Amino acid sequence: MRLPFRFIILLCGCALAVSLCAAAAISLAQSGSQPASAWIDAVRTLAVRIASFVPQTGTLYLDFKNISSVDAAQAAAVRLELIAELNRRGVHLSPDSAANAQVEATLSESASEYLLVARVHRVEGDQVAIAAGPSRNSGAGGPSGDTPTLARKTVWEQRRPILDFANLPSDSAGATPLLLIVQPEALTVYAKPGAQWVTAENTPLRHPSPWPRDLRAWIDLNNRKVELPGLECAGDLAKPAAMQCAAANSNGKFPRELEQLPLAAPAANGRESGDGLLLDLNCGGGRVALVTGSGDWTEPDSIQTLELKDDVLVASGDPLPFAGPVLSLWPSADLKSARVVARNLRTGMYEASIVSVTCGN
Amino acid sequence: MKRRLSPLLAATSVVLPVMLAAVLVVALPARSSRRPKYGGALRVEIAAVVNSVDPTTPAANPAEATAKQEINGLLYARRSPDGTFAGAAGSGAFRLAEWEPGKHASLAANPDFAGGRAFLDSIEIQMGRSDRDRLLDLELGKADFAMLPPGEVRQARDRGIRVSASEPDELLALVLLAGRPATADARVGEALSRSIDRAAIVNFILQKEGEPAGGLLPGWSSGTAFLFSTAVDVSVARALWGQITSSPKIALGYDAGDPLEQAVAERIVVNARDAGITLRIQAIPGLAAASANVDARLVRMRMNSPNPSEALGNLQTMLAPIAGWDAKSLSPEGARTGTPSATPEQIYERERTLANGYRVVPLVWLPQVYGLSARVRDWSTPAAGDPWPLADVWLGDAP
Repeated sequence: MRLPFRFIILLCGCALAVSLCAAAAISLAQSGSQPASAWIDAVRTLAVRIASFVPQTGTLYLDFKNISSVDAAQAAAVRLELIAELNRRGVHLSPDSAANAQVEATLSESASEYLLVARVHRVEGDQVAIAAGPSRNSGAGGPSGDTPTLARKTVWEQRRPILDFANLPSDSAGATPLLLIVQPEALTVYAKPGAQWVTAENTPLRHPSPWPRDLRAWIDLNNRKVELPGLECAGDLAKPAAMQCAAANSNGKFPRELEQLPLAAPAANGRESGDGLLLDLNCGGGRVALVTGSGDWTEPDSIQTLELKDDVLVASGDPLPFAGPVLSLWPSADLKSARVVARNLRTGMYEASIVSVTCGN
Repeated sequence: MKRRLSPLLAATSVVLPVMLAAVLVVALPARSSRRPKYGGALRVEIAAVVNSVDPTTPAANPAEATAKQEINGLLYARRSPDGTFAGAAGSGAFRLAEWEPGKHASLAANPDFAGGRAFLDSIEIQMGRSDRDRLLDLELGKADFAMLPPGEVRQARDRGIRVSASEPDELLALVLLAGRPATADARVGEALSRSIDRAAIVNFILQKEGEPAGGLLPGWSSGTAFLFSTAVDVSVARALWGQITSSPKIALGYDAGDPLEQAVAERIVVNARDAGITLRIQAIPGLAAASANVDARLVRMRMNSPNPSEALGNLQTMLAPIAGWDAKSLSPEGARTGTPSATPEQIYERERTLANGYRVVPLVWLPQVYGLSARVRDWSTPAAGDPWPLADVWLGDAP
């Protein structure tokens, strides 16, 4: 009885290992092909142009350079894609620089987009072909990062400013996720009935006087309100058009008299820090707070966890880096995580994300 | 790292569970150093002497024209596509509160500005401050904001001054003036271009704050600057010059009030001499180049946009009258340059056609360099064509 049982265990183990290997291989293949997919149109365009420059017979020496901010792995994927496209068009590549023709392919970037530039050296003069690649704001150029103690999940990004956002309970049918985005000029609800988010409602915000320059907003999920400086909208957050907006006597304070909030920011002993947020979360006997960095809005930022132990705030874990300033930091409805809006200085995009804390390790 | 709790925090930590029960949402963005503060006066020093901010009044020299643009960028809410200001003065983030022509201007925050009231209460602008005075005042904390010459950046940093530099967005070029017999032959421009050591200008005159320019657009904007050579080729320059039978003597003009142009002009004379080209330099007061008896002149032109198509279109429009560019001779592919629909290849073809005509010889790309005091917060270097973003700036406590 024992031998067959061990055999079954062994068999299961092998099957599991094979499955994991296969999954890893698929994942690797997908990650390897992903960068090039954003470039495929540019690569094909350039390959066609290069093929038109070189003789039908003979060989081509390809010198590939990357002078853009695209990381080396993606540049290598683009290079492989270009070689494959040239082969498909009957262009034979040679490793010998003394081939019939030489092409210098350069991965470059302009103010708005990545470029693939080919220069074919010929006796009668150089020929140049340029193909526009993905937009530099598309995220096709660089990697992203994370830390083990704080986890960040980006739920939305856009070029226009985001003041606050909230994942709302599903619609009445209970099947469609909803997302409320507060922008300076509108309240927008997006729905995700299928694979894509679509605009469900877009309601302009009317404000009698210009917004202050440091405009902020706060979605009060528990009281179903959106607060802005001098303006308060109440009602069903999923139906902004039906919300009642009225002037609020805040005298520019936002969202209320800040000093009246239960906790002054954990900027104790004169040390500068940014916004702070206390979570209803206890790690190692201490309540967890999140604080942003102390730089201004032109610098990269971070969120650091602090633990409240014996009346002392102790920094714990690695800070979670952001590629630009954290513009708002509000608690989720259950106070276990945070809604964070940050501006990515590299891409110029406003990013809405949920930052959660993992205790223990 | 340990931080002592403030008394308020200590007290509230006791009642916190109660507060949490009563108020589910607890946020604490108080006493934040990163939240902007309203108030204060920003002390600005500029080299130019501005006699009028009226956009319709012509400036006496390029420096005044540039400074006037920057001041008007604070006073006007809108700018026309051609770079002029539209609407009413005072519709912008600031209003003119005091004006002493050529000496001092005081700008007050406009509470009705559609973009929101500026954080600063006011901006005090002192005019006619020399490079040395601006550096010294930044160092001594007597100024908060001043433009610095690119060649002074290293010295400024060494003296502990906070420096912010833009992408290189200002072209310094040698323009062969239209209608001058001495420069009518295209080989004159090509010979000059190949004789000039642009790297030496960047390394020694600009102290590495800039980039050699072979084309009319910088690499960060077009992505194709590497296709234009900036290499020195004295032998080719000498051969080209030898082919010109008339062997003209060329007079190169530069702005008398611009030490950078003077230094570059003197360098060009040395390079030209190495290639056998006869060149003399002549200082031109103000904007009097048209009436000065010169065959070529140095010009500094800032890009009006980071967009390569718009920037090239503007550059072409501005330089065409003095360089004698003929639109008919340009490639049809480039006809759409200046419109958003132009492709990168069309922009490149247009740029190549212009550069290969050698009426304009690009020399270097210069950044805009700003010296800032430690209390200036939320300063972001403006993009090409954008005015000083002083409405976003606020004043923190000096460290």
